[in-house]
Amino acid sequence: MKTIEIIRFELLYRSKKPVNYIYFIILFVIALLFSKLGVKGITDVSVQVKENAPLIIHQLTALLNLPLLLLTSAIMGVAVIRDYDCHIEQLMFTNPITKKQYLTGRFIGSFITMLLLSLAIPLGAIAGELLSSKPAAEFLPFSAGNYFVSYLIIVLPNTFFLSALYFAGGAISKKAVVIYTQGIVLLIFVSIMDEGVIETAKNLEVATLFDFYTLQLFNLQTKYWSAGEINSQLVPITGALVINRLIYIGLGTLALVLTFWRFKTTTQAHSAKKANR
Amino acid sequence: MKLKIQNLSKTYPNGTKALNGVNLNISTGMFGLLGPNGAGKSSLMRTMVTLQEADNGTAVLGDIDMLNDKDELRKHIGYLPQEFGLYPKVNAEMLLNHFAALKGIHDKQERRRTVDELLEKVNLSEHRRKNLGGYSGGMKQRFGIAQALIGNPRLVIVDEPTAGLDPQERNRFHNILSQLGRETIVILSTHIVEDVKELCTQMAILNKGRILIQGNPKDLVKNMQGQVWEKVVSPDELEAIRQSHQVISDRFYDGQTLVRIAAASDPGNGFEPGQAGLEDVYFSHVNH
Ligand SMILES: Nc1ncnc2c1ncn2[C@@H]1O[C@H](COP(=O)(O)OP(=O)(O)OP(=O)(O)O)[C@@H](O)[C@H]1O
Ligand SMILES: [Mg+2]
Repeated sequence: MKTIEIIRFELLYRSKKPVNYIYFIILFVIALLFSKLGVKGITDVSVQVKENAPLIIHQLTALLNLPLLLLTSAIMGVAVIRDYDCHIEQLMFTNPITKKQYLTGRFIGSFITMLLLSLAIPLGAIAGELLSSKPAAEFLPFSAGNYFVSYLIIVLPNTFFLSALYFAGGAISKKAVVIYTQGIVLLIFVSIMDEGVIETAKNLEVATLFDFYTLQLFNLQTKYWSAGEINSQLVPITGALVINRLIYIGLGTLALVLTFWRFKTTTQAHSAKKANR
Repeated sequence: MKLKIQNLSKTYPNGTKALNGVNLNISTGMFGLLGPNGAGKSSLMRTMVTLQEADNGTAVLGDIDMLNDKDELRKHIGYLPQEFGLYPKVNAEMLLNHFAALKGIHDKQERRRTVDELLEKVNLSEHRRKNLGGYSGGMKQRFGIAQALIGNPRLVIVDEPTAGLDPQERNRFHNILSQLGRETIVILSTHIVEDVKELCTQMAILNKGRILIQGNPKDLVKNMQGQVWEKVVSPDELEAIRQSHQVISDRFYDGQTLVRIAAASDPGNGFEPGQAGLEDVYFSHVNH
């Protein structure tokens, strides 16, 4: 009951912030533009591959996940830090709520906000396809499902993973700098992993299990596909993919468990005598 | 309802001993906690409302172990911190409604009624839809008072509640507290002696983390009657008197100084008997 109230208030709070709508619009426009221009050109597939082949949509989605992930630190980091920044924590933690209710409510409320924002990716990409000025012959029949499959494979787990990490960083440290540093380090880390480490790894099969964007993993699996196969096949859901995604969901869950364990509602009196209205 | 604190101590990580073996017995009614800046008032209050751990000691409210049974205690307390902030982009009604839900008022109608009543009580009804970021210091303080009263807590702890309130609002707030004090324990910290005199049936003086004296303000004043002496002196004389007598207070007045001292019997030397007041009780303990 109280957890639901905390979620409700979190969503209400987020909905009052104009910046969140701006984030959505920006993401939507980026997705639309990339999709309208088409990413087929930047991948080395044969000309017979259609602009909206499932695998191409998957690559587009991976690319679009990046700006969303930059946003994650801004959204998730403040979920707990906000109370300390606003200096309202003493009022909050003298309420009869448990640490569990508080953290669960704040995480879920903020994560729902992230999910709503993330919908700008498939929706923008779909709009881009529909508004494309390329000849219809370049396209397979429109299928919204393909966009959402890639969304579920890439965007959802990745957003959860980073959301959990930023949430943990904010809740445990209670300092904004920690999140920003953590944000940059993490993104650089997963991106380097994807580009450098995995490409040069000796054992690609194993390395791609850790592939954050799942692009290398799919490259490996579809390396020998013909243009016809790329056009006709859905992105393959393999055991390796499932393990890959479970690894990231698991790491995110671990970060949340750590947060529940380490977070403290007791605070020292603020030495700064300036109450922040 | 009884609140009993025994041997409570707290040393901050930087070595400041904020509470040093505090003992208090508090029953239903208004309790004034008086002490100078840095006495430890806020530290004591924060410990009582689960925000801070004590190093030593016990605190019991009725049958609740205040230091260990935090979840249970939080159901029964209202707290107004000395300093706090609010979400700037949210209005009073929304935030108060949220707090009411967190306090456990699950019924929507009841919650609305509570919020309406409290906003009315602290005179914020007309500003209920205004974002809290636009509140003045006094309005913010009144919001803080309102949230401390949600759900009829058994123990209300207010830390320098009238700081920043204009005289009218201060009066209004004192009335709210007095009414509350009929059924609940209300602990009020302040360094304004006047407030304690007007409002409280029980009080204690805290200084440097220790309770110097506890009792009924009227009795404490009565005990001091006949022991206060005053005299108008020059600055030079004042220094000499400081050496030889226990000075309670000195007040600069028209180039001269009115000095008040505590003495069991007539100190002679031109001192006149003075009317004892709560201020004398306070200063004689704190300046001792
Ligand atoms: N977080 C903290 N870390 C270190 N020392 C602290 C902390 N909070 C308070 N103190 C110190 O503990 C002592 C008691 O502080 P406290 O705030 O409890 O006093 P107070 O009686 O409320 O004073 P005031 O009238 O100024 O509000 C002071 O010496 C103060 O400097
Ligand atoms: Mg204080």
